[in-house]
Amino acid sequence: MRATATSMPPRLARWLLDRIVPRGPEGDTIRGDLLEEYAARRARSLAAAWCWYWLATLSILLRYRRRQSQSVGSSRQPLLAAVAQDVRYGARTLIKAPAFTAVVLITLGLGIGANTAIFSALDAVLLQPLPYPDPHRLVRLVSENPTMGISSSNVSAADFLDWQRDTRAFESLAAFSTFSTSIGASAAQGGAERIAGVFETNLFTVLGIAPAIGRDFNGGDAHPGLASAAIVSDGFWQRRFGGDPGILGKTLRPGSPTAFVGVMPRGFAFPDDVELWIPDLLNPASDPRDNRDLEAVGRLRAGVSVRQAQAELDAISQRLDTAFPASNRGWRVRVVPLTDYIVGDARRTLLLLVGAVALVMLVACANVANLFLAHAAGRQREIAVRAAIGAARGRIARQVLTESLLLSLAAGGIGILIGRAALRLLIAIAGSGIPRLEHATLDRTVLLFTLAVSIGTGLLFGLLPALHLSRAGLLQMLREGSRGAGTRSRTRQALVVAEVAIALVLLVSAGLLARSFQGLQRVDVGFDPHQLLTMRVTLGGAKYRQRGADVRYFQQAIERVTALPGVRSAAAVLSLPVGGGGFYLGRGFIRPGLSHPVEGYSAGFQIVTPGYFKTLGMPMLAGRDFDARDTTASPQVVVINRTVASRFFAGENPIGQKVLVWKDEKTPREIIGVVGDLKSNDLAAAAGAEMFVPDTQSEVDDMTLVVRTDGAPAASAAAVKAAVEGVDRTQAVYDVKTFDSIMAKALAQQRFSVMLFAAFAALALALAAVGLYGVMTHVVNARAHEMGVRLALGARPASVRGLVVNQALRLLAIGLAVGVPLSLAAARLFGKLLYGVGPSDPLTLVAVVATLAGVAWVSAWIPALRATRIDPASALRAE
Amino acid sequence: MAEPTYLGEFELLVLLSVLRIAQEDAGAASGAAIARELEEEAARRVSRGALYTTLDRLEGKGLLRWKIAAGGPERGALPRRAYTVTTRGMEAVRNSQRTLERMWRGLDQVLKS
Repeated sequence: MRATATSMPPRLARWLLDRIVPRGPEGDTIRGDLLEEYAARRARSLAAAWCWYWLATLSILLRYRRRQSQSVGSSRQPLLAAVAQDVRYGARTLIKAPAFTAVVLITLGLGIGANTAIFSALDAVLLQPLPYPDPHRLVRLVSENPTMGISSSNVSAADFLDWQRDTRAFESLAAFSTFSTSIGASAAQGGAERIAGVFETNLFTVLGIAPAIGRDFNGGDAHPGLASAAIVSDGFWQRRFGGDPGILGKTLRPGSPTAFVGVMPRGFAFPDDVELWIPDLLNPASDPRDNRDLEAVGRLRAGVSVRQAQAELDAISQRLDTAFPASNRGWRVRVVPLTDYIVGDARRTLLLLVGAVALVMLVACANVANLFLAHAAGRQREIAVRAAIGAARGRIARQVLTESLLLSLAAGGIGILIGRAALRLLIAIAGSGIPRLEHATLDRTVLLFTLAVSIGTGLLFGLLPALHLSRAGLLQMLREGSRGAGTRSRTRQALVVAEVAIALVLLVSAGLLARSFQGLQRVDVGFDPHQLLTMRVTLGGAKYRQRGADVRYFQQAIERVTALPGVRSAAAVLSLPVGGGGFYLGRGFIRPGLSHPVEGYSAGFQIVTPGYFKTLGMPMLAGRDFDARDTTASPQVVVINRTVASRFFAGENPIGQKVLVWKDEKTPREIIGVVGDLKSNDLAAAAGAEMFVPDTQSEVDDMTLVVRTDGAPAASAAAVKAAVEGVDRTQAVYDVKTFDSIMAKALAQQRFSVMLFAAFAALALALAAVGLYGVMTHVVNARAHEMGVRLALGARPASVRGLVVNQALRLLAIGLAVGVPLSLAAARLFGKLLYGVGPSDPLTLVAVVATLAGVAWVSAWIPALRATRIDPASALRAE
Repeated sequence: MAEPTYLGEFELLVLLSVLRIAQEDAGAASGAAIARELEEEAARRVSRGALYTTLDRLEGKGLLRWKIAAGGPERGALPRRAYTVTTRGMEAVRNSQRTLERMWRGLDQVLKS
């Protein structure tokens, strides 16, 4: 029988104890004693019991010398005994120097903690495989048309079917398109809510996941019109059906032909947060080849590389380009590993952070090596005596290394605690800016990494002093006493120079990112994002399949919202700017007389209600906004933005001209207005070409309301939501948020990297300052005699101070000379992440150098002051 | 005839603890019980490493011996050592007592002040 896990002492201490005391009943008696006492103490205070157990374990580790067992004879015994002796001796030495030990533990603990946190983020985001069988064979197929400047687009049904027919590289291909719908309230199932869904073919086959309950789709489930089958997520099943297995055969809405045939395993969600899967029938006959509205994923055949698949699809794209120039000229498809696609830009950010945190670790190691050398200086006599009475050099080096490893392992323990807290902070800062980060934990992989880093750093900072101490001449050491040896002094100064150089690299990086972030925050988005409330409605159900029903719904919603007190104006749009809608629709267009879109003739395509430009605060540069005149029956109209006007109608008045928006609508639209530019998707990208059409002439069931309020938008949220819900209680109003929060989300990834870089740079700066301070203190101590003589001979205190400060500034200057080119090279690595500031921004460089110089001066000033207080008499007497 | 064994102060305290516990309940002197006795009666904070080292040393000198006894639920059913003082151990304790008493004799006046 064992005590329950919750009443057990700390796991790590138990593990350690198991290693120290022998296995079997003899050791069990000790384990039992500690457990018994722990239980007794725990009843009084858990924390005290916890500490006590650790202390008892450590005391047994350090002080318990078991009687030699009868069965001696292992040849490894002497080595083990010697190591144990080293460990005990080392531990005692460290306990005797508590200040030194504490500083080293804090320095290394911070470094290891930061590394642990960043590595667990890296592990979760980049290294952990996706939760599907053979995830490395899963790829995403992305269309692109470099000649039209389109770097990422969906695929058309016709193209997809051609790939599926002709490819040999893929085991299976799947196409899908996401949608949202509202499910009405019902007594059994709760209130109206929005469900994210996807129309798909073959998706579960490609991913290699089958429903947990029920069956996958078969060929008979998809029909033209409404499908007869649907599969739902475990969450949906639990939430709306209480986990009732009788869900199979029930329908999505009363009277709907779509019946549930399966429930996916818990935790499965692809793509994104989808909860409803409906089979799709791809029909190239009714869907033109240039209607690229599907997303595609594929599973490579075993043994086929991404490159081979890419080569094959290139050849197919080439054939389609020749066969269908009107729709496929310049279009090709890019094969992207699915993990890369999901992780996206976060990869670069994370890798840069890994680099930064490794630099912090280097600074920490340099600092600790420095401390170790200083500490060793105090122990020189002791070591010389040990050598004199016969300790081998190897043995002395091993002793020093044992101490450094002891320290680094203890620091690793502290690092795990710091890392755990830092990781929690990291996830909070990142928000949704870094995909998959929310799954990061300190798991076995991370702990192994931390252990490896701890041992690695122990070796790194222990090796230098170990070599120094074991190599130094015996006589020389005895003669010098505690005054520093020349080579060691040089080593310590070199370490400080390295610290300054690395701190400079991190400071410059952080400075550039901060300037870039500042620039992004101030970027002109083309409208006023403050005092703006947004919420989304996705209309679902038979009622909204009637022509004009969607338009009427949004019209009524806007009327009701506008009537509320505190609301200045309201409108609706297909997808919010600044990436707030989660998608971006681009369309090619042509001017009448051309046969198909030529290079560059493409623009963002937005469907809006009248009043959208006024509500956002976009300037109307020419012509008019949409209004009641623009109906289904009236002539088709379009509003363009400044970029379209200047790029395609340079020198002409665009008002009254015609364009054909290239897709299914072949009727020309008349340009009735020109509005200012806006950032539709990416804050850092230049504003692009945009065109807007009225919802009356391009009806959609999914729009986002934008509401301009007089006061704080969040305060009106409840009233506005209630007003919109009042239009039709069966429809869910969701994603209620202020535009300020959308702006914050757009900057989340940048904010994440700025904050972390700033934290790492600050840490490196502090460590470098401590390092410099330590070295200068050492210099002052070593030269106390000389300074005492100078003061005795009448040197002014200022000149003695100058002596110290000048030496520090010389070290700083060398550090800067090394660091400046390094930081310029490093800054080039994240040129792509910077906005509005160059990688060699002089202002940042000057500010950083000034900061470093200031900190260095302070670090040197304190020991310098001490130098002037040296009492000449006692300095001379000490000699 | 064996040499008389001399005891350090801590060794003596440990042997006395074992005797005190055994007086209440023979076979109850486990490591944990000895530690408790030392802490409560001798007001000594005992590092567990030092305690087990001392117990092993006393065993090595033949002053203590132990046998394995079953442990209760309070120690997760792990076995415990039941220590007893050997004849040699009793001899050493008496020897210490005699020595101390001899040394105290005549110092009553001095120690009183």
